[in-house]
Amino acid sequence: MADTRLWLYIDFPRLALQARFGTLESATPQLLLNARSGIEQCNGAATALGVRPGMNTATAYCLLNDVETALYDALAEQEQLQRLALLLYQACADIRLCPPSGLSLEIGSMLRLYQGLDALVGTLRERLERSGFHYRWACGHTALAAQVLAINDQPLISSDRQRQISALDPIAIDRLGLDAKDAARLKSMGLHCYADVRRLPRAELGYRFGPNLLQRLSALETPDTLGHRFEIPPHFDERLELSHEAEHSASLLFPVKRLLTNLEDYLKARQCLADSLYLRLSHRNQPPTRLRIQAVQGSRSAQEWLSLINLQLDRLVLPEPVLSLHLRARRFRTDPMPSGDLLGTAYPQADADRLLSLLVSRLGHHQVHTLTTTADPRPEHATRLTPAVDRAGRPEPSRPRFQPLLVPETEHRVAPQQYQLLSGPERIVMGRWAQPAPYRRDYFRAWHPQHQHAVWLARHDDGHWSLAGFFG
Amino acid sequence: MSLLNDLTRSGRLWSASDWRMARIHAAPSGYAALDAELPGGGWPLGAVTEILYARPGQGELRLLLPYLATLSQTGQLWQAWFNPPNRPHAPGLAYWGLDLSRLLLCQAPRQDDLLWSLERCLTTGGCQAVVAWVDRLDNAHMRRLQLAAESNRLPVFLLRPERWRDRASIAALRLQVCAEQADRVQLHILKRRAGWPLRNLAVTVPLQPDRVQHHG
Repeated sequence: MADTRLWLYIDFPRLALQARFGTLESATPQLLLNARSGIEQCNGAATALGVRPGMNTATAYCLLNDVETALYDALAEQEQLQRLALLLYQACADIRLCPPSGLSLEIGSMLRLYQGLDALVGTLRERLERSGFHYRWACGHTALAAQVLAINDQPLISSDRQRQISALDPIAIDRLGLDAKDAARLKSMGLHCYADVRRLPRAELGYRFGPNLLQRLSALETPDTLGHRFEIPPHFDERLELSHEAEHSASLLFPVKRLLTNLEDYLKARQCLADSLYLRLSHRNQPPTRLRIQAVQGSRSAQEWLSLINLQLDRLVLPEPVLSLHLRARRFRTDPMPSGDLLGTAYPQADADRLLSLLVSRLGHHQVHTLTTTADPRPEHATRLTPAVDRAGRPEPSRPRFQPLLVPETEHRVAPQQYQLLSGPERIVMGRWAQPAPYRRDYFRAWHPQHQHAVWLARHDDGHWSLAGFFG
Repeated sequence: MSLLNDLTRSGRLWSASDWRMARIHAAPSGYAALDAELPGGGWPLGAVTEILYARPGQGELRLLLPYLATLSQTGQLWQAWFNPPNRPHAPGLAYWGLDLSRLLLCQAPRQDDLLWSLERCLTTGGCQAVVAWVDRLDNAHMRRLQLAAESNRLPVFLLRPERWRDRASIAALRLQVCAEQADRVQLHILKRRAGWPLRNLAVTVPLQPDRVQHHG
């Protein structure tokens, strides 16, 4: 059976630069410097003025007037590569990370699903354009061939094997990724492009150049994978260093939005919803500010999370300017099918959940409760308040009693002679096994003629009377 | 003429001779004597109702409970109660047939939080009714609430101390509760749409619900 595998290699030549400065094309030249004081990456504005990656920093400064620079951060680059892989993961199953800045996608197996290369490439292109990252890509019959084509700016998108093979032919010897010494020697022998080398007998080449060259050449021709396979991390955990210290919580919204967009991609790829997020704001000296944001039935939309976070940030007074943000999501739930009427567009439960999320974000976790009855006969323990977001999904048994509607928070002693007793006594006793002090009280419904209200009175064992509730 | 008709029909304009003709969206309160006097025949939907009372236990909540209980049995929306001055007692409320799983109890000690939350309850479509114990509330805020309630056809009940009685208020319906006996109140309708104020309307509000309606 013919090998149906087909590789697409995507290279992000300005990955670290764009991860650092953002994906918007800036009119100011931007340089990313590496430790050896050379130019690692530069943006379009710098390229237009003659700066090239690999150039000496001093030379670059001679060409530029106004410039933004930053140090190359390999870790940030890797994190960004992961994010891009995540973005493409919804369109393609087999993605391999090729650090520092490439992704190798096996797309041959996806073609049947998409019914053709065009549809798949269109989907990938749309996602890449949306990310804003500068990219170049190419198809190849082997992973390495695709990489070589992509890096040499040969945007070959075709599933025709012959074209893929012949596209390699004009690539210069020193651009094939061979060992520099080998490339120089081949060149000095008058072999300038891949086509020249391909025709030579391999045994002779091996004899002269050793096994490394042969391996490299055979990898270009026989299918093999590149890099290690991308898997979705089990949690969402992302940091964002702010370029300026944020003094007001309102100025955090924009960076938070960036994190949330990544979160949305992550949740989409995992096909699940997050129900709570943890946001940590780091300061220079003070301990970090921590926020917990909850959405009742879970959410993935960045917009929805943003509005909930906004509610908390609105009320937040920062002890110190914020240096970095850290967003984590650890608990996920599967995305339920929206339940509701088939004909209408109303999902009352969703509206109710959204309202609850809003109220909890604004008022706080412990200010919004639901009520349930308990089995405890003592009136002061018969009501259980549960934070509404923690409520159990199942219906609670209801234990109605002919008792007042409102109960005072603290005990008020009263003089019984001021009241007209309407009914009672109703005795509530609880054994010594339940609590150390015996509980025995007689309850009366009563009317206060002066104050004109209907109340519930309790006569305690020691003879004093207290106000036990109001009949609303 | 049509503007006149519209205004008359919505109860904003009424003539003394045919005030009962106004069509106001309302839901039966569960007390026949009260319904007979309320425009539309019950608690107005899409309007703010103010209930003034002197101290808890005068029937201020019992007046609302038959309606709130019936409402709670329908739909999946919340019934939000804000800032009750004492702790609501679950067994007692359940006795009136209130579905406790629909009840959302919110504490909003700060005035701006309260107003924000009330508005959100009315505008997000996640709420079926709002009950709030409030003290001071300026007219601009009251007006916002009234508009939000109106556009979403939701009932809003504000339970307020009786000292606010003589202040102007934008609420569409204002009642003052004066308890006469434990299960009997005198209601003063201070303001209603399409009708004159009314004093001394005697309504029986028993301490326990009518067991024929609510089997518990």
